[in-house]
Amino acid sequence: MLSRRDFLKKCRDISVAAFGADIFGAEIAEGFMKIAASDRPLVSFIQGQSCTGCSISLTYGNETNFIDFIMKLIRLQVHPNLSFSQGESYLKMLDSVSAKGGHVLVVEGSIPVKMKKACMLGEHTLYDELKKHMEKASAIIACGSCSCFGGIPASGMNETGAVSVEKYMSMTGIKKPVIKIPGCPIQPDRFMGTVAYLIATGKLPAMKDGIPTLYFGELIHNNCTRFQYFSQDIYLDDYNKDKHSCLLKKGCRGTVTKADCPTRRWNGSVNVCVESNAPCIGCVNEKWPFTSDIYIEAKNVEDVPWSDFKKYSEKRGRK
Amino acid sequence: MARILSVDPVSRIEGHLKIETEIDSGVVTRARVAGNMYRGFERMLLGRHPVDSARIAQRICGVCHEVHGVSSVMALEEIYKVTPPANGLVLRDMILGLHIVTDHLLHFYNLCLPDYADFSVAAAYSGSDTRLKDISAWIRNSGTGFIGGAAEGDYIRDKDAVYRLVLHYFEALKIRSEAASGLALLGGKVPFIHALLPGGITTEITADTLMKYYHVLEKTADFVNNSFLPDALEIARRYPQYFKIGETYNTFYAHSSFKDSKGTNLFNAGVIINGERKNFDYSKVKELLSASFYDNSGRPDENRQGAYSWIKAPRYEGFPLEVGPVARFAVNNDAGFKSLLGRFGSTNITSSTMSRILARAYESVRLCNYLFERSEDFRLDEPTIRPVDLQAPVTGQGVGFSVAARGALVHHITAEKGKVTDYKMIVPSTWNFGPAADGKAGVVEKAITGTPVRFGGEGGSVEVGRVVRSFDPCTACSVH
Ligand code: SF4
Ligand code: SF4
Repeated sequence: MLSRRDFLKKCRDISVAAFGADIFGAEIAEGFMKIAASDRPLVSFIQGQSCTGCSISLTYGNETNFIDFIMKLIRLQVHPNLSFSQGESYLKMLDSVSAKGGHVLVVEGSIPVKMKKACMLGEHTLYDELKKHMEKASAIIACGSCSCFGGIPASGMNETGAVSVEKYMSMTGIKKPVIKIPGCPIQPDRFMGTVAYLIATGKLPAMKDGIPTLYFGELIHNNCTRFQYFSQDIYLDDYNKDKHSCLLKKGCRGTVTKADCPTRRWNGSVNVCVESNAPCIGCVNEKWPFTSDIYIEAKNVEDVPWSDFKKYSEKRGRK
Repeated sequence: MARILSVDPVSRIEGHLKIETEIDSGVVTRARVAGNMYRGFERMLLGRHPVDSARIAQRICGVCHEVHGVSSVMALEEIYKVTPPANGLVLRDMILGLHIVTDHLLHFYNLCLPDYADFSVAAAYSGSDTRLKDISAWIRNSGTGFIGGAAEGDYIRDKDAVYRLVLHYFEALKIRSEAASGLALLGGKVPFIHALLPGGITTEITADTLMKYYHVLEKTADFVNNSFLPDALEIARRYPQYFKIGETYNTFYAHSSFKDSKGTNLFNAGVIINGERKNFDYSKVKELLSASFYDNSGRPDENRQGAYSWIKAPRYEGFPLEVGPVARFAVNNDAGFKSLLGRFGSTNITSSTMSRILARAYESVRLCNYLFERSEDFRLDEPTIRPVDLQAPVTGQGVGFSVAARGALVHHITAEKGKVTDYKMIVPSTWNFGPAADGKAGVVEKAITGTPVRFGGEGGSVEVGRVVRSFDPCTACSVH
């Protein structure tokens, strides 16, 4: 018998490296011990109105290594940027996975419902095709802010009538839980960790409004390394002269954005927006990229429309 | 009798692309290239704060992420009348240059290589290399998916070559993610750098940051010199016929880019038409709409008569132009690249499938060398940014000419009283993948025409796929 310690170590070797997650650690590890390689779920990716940024971000990885992920955790069947097949044979591959069912379907990008030809999947519109790929899926993952909420394609006058995956499903009558992992682009650990959890436990992770709370539970602001400056009312005025103070007066949306960016960080955990002295632009938010200006600068902190947080946090104690 | 052969969708590219060809006596006689996805960036930016463009326009494409950011801030800097401090320009070059190298790596190994090497050969590996054993188990376990269903073709099947290339396929992904951390050190995160603003880069750069960047660059350069260039040369040696396949009009266009501290450009700007080099004049560029899904005023119209693509058709004095690394070398009449092509019997820099592939590898070597020198220009105690006043209700126009892995690009912003009133982008894949107009086929349409097609089947044609992918299509960009 393996000791629990050895067991966990072994699990780390085979899989923890692949989901960069002390986070779901033990639960995932135990689950994975039980799944034979040939039983891992088939995964297909479909891109709607997207920029491929989410897929690219996944291949960059963070703590989570994409190569480990595709080699050791899932059976990646179809990916528009990576699949060796093309044309008809590519579409057949996609169809056969969806016909068999039980797959994990990842949708990147939004779906145009007004100007349907604004996104095609082969000869047909994505609008007409997507339904059949969703019907028998065991899980549908909305990958990135576009597929979660409409995102960039749905902004401005939204000429194409771009909608989120969820909205599309309600329009076409598909009832099934969707896991939403927002971000512009998606942060790799959040995606791969969620998929790992799903596979290993067969359960949906804890979610609020379809969004995993573990990754999107707390305000960026609360874990920001600049919080101490905020609490002392030291605000950055000139990007050139000051590289450390709180960015709220430069329009930082860390106070209204829930995500674990400051602790999880990006690209091998080397950096994150706020640490590069740039305000958080709230790219995981439902309203991203917003209708108001992205950076709302102010002389006084009270003039930042989302600075109510400060009053609020002072009243309630800082959580 | 002509037959129709399509590849729809083209995989292993960025975006939604359809290729339709007519084949007669084993040769493509006519081709249509269609961009199949529209979002409407130029119009969604209208009415927004000009600086929002620096964030939103980056999201045109997650593959060439930083390129659009740089181009839009260059345009914004003209509107705000600000020049970044020397350090700001150095950092921008360090980001853009390293980014382009990673983009070339993705293109060669992960997008193109499966057109040349038969990865299934690695499934039968029985030796003792643990990495190859892993890969072989992975291929067997992933079943028919992923690497299955490749088009019929004349692939490399000798074991040693396949093993090496397959290993490099995965190594390239690893090097790319390391390089990405080099980019994030300077910019906060990638894709989509938020430290990039008009006037420079916000990040505090310490000696430690520079050391880490340098380290990443060294690793990247090692891979580029010891794997990428030799592998590209190997493909060229095995497929010499592709120096004659995939030729365009041999009209080229490039922007100046990557200045050094003495003011010399790594690439100079210019246009080549009828073998003659001229200065580039932006006012001579027109976008034609006759075969594109837009009405005459430029509004999207998915039912436009005679249209077959969401991509517009840019023309320079009526000519379709090829952009990309070959264009950069042709415009600069680059001696090094000429001699590289000379090894395969060419005396001139001309357009072809294989010259595009070689140009990317060669350019990566050049860019790494450039970046080693360029990063030395950074001065630790000097500013990295001259911030603009975001509350100034600016009015004016700005044009940002920059460069992506796949060619020259322009962002053109007009602002009035602090709001964007017009936004135009003409990007590399718009030039290359634009449809026919005024009786002239688009650049890639021209390149595909004349391609010999020996293989067919459900995967369409491997040969046509090779030609198309050699341009590194970026369809989200081309349509935007
Ligand atoms: S406002 Fe932004 S910079 Fe300031 S502490 Fe909060 S998250 Fe950090
Ligand atoms: S810090 Fe803000 S802008 Fe940056 S990735 Fe996180 S949510 Fe997006």
